[in-house]
Amino acid sequence: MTKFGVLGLLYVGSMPLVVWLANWQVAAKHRNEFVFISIEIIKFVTNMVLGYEMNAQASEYNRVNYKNASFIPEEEEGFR
Amino acid sequence: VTRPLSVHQVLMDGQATHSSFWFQLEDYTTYYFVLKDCQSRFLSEYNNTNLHLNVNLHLVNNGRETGEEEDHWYIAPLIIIAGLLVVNYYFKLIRDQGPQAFDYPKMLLFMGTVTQVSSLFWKMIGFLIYVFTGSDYFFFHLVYLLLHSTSEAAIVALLTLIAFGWTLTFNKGNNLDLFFPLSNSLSIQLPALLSPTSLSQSSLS
Repeated sequence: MTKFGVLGLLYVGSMPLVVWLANWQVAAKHRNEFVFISIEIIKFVTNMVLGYEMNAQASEYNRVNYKNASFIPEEEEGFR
Repeated sequence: VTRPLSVHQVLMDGQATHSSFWFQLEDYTTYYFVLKDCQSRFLSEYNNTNLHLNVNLHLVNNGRETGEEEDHWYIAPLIIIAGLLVVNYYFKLIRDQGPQAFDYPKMLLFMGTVTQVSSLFWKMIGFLIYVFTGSDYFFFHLVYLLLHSTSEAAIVALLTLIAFGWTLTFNKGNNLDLFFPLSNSLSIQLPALLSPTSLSQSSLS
């Protein structure tokens, strides 16, 4: 679950992080492009890594997932 | 009639940049009026607010509507790469695991990913229109904002729900009545947070 925490932090915290980095290192005329493309790439990569984590059979998420756990039938009925 | 206006040397990021400005008058009419108030009798009574002057400026940059810094060409390869990755990944997933591989959390993630790529696509369409015509791309920018907000709301909702234990310790129950509005609270705030700055950028460009 650490991966989910890191990915969540990256997803939510990418905006202030990238803006701070842009103000610090990037020239003013390229700042807008840098911020926009960096945030979009970070979010897209986060989405894809999340997708991999949720779909890979051997992932840490699927090891503790409700779907892969053994329960009595009454508890298995439900939300899906 | 094209006339040189001025040549400037501008310091930008420590580098000297030479900029020349030209102006061209298009379809103009000049009216010249002379009013003389010899005794200054009407000076105090003259209402200056009745005088209006409207000037329409159509600024181009070497014949183009946008400046070099507003090309936004980088969105196109980003969309192509991201779109191909998404299509390839999910096709492979359905081929390997079948459509039953999709449950609610995966569908939420799929929705977030697809709406993100889609929002970039509509933003690019808006920029293309702006580059070629100079018209504002307000509608497409609005579509981009809505899709982008949906994408972020879906991902943040998913992460929040998983953090509460959804799909890990429970799949349904009374707790969901609390967690769903809580996890979607950001989706309510996002348009309000994004719109003012983004719309002002759109109106400026």
